[in-house]
Amino acid sequence: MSDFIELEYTIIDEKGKPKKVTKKIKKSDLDVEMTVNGKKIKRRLNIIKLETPSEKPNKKAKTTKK
Amino acid sequence: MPAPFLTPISGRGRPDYSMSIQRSVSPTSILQSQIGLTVTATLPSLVYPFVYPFIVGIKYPSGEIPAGYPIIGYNVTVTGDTNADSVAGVQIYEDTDYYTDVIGTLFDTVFIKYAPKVAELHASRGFNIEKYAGKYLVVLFAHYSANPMTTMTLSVHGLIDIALSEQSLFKQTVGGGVNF
Repeated sequence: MSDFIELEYTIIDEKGKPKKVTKKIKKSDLDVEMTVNGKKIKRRLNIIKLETPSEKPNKKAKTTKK
Repeated sequence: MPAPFLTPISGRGRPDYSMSIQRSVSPTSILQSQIGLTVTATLPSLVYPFVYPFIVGIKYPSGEIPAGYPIIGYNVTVTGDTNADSVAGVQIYEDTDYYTDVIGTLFDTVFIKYAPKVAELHASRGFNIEKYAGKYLVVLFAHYSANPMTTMTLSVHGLIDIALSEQSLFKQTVGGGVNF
């Protein structure tokens, strides 16, 4: 089992094309000591991919009949 | 001299000390309770669009707090100790397991803020979380910096502002399980 978490993301390269890149993060780095409301706890952090809300289609502008 | 006839005063609101009336005013009781969460940790730098989720949950049994009463989260701040790109967000998730920290499916996004090259995000707009009863509120935060590890502080503030009638008050319905 790998000691790393691979985060795959897309960048735009010099030619303007999308390129998939991977960033590795040590799993042990995610075992952090947090201070939550003054109390120290140990916790392994999750990582999720941010889902942005889908854009709603623009409503057609209302026209008034003259 | 005979002892004066005393009427026991009970109830809430302004007491009326006249002999014949026990209670002339029965106002609506307004309860305000602040909720707060502060998390400080040294975290690895991520890359967009990855974030750390932190479940702070609105897990009260639906129906316990009457519908229509505002439960407001009004401030989410993410502060980093380096001048890095940061993100702070609040999303609502379903099917989330608070105990195993498993995030379920996205239900709604309350807001997401990015702060390019600024280490502090300050979302002062309040949001009504009452409509998300039974679901989970997940605070998202991350920093995208050149430093491999950065100490961040996440703080969430909220206000439970519930106006209940006296009858409801006796049922102790207030604050039911808003777990921070």
